Amino acid sequence: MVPNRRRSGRVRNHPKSANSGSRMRTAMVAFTLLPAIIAFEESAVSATPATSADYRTSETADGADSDDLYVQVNKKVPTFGGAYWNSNGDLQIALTRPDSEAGKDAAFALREIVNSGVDVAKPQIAHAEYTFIELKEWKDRLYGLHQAVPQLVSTGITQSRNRIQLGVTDSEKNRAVIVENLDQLQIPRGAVLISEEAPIQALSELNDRHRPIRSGLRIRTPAEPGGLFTRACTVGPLAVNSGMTGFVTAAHCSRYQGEVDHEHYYQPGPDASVISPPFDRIGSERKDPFLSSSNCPYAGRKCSTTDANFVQFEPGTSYKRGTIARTSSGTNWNGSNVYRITSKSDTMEGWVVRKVGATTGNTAGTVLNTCVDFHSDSPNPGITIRCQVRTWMHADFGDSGAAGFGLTNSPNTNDVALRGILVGGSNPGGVGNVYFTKISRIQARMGTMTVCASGFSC
Amino acid sequence: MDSRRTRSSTRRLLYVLGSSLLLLAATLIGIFLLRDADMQRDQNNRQADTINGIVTRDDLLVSVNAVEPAFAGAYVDESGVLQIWLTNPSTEGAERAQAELVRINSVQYSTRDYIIHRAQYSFAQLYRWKEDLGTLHLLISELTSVAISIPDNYIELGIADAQKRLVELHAELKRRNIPQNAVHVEEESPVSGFDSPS
Repeated sequence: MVPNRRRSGRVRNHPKSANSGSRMRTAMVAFTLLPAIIAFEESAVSATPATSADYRTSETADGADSDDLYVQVNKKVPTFGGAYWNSNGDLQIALTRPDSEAGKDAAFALREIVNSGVDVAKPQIAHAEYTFIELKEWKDRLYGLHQAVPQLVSTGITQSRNRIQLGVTDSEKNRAVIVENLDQLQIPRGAVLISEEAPIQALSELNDRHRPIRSGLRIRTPAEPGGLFTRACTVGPLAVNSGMTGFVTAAHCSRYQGEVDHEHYYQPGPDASVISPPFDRIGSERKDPFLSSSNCPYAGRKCSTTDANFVQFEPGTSYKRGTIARTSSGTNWNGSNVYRITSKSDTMEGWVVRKVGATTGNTAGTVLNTCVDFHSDSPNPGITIRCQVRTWMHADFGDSGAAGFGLTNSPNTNDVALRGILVGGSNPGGVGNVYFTKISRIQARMGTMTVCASGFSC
Repeated sequence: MDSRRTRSSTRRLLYVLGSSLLLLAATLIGIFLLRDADMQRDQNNRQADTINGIVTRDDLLVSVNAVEPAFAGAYVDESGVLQIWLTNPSTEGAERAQAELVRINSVQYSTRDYIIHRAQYSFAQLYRWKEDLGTLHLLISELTSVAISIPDNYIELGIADAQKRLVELHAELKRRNIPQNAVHVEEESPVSGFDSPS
């Protein structure tokens, strides 16, 4: 019996959730490492008598962050100015009035409040000019600074330098405005370091909403009437076909494979539980080559040499033809890195085909055979797709439609030749046989597809 | 005065009627043109799955056998060298086969260098046996894929739970006079479309 994953009710984790977790973990790791990183740029801090400050963090913070924890240490040790690890891994405790007893108290407080792994045996004492509570209070006063300095990128307390650190793009241009604000807020100029920092680009992924539309992004069709699930696939190569602009994807992604059902496609939604905004609808199916039993050498089945359809963009949809999202790892994508399509041709045995699928991202594999007839009963029964390219690579449910391409690096790095689109496989989620419909067959069935980036004719 | 008012009202009525008729005509023409465009699209969409009678790569390769009977398959590797298989290897045979490949598909097979390999079965022979196996899926429902492997010079069958069906398969091959060494069986799970319910 052929397993039917729809009937089996297989539940998969939403890729987006999984990756959000991964991003969170990355952030936590980075945060944990921060003291060690800062230790490399440690510098002596001047010894100045401490000034007391009101503890107001608990009134202003919207949740416990690491600054709050160090404020608690400061409450136990009034001269505490911060703690960090130097390049030898030794704990350094900065105090406004250095003495070994206060140092030990601070170490114990750190172990109790911040990190149970703190070695309290031999803390090294450094001089601090400001208490941590002072720095925290001044930092909180700077919450509105971004309005005066739109190029402010980050604000933080650098404990190794016992200062507030502002990361600013075009820092020299903005210095005068910042100093003016410090004076108005009664923050000592000496307590603030201004450093140059480029704007931070938020990481996103292929499952997020992106405009312009590019190949590699997540698309979904609406749930079937009464059904819970939408079908999730991947935007294939963007193309101009018969005067229409749109994209190619796998025909089985639409409700009726082999007939033009004018199925609507959304990027990234619609979500099963959310009413998708109308502007997320990016196109409707316009071509879906028919399946034939009369022209099929396999008795009782319907055949086609393609599993591809053409979706015309909705008017006003922003798109960038000839580009494929180039992911860094998995499905994380910075929204700008792309492969550029500069040619198109079929692949042959032994060549390498690459794809960017919205579920498994950027993977590649070797072509094992360029003319395999495969019988498939999922998602639609009784269909044989003839003369497909068989590769050996990693892919999964949701990758259908992804552009298959070869890296040519011609004329430039990351330029590619389009080979076809991904249509299925026999080992979902793992490495195994993955099938592609050839670009030549897509064109034979639906007419010429103009797929290249501007400046190239193909 | 009254007759002037009546004439003016009539003119206004005629104007409204005329405008309405024009609007209706324009709408009908628009609908007709859209329908025509849709029909044209549908016609394009129903383009047959064939170019000059050639549907697949195998159809293309088997036509080479008419010119070079020893031909057993060919492809261009990623470094641009034509790899060519012949049952009776000869430079002349390779060149005849390549010339025919170029004639049929000049873009893909037009290479300067080629390497000749020896094969046991011609491509036409493998093609016939593959066609003979067109009903095999009725006997072995676990059959997932069928292909001719050019470098291996055999027919490759993907079957889920292959070991369980080998006896049946071998009997069927014998019944059809297909040599066992011309067919290779690989374990392959059912192929599914990689769309995802989400």
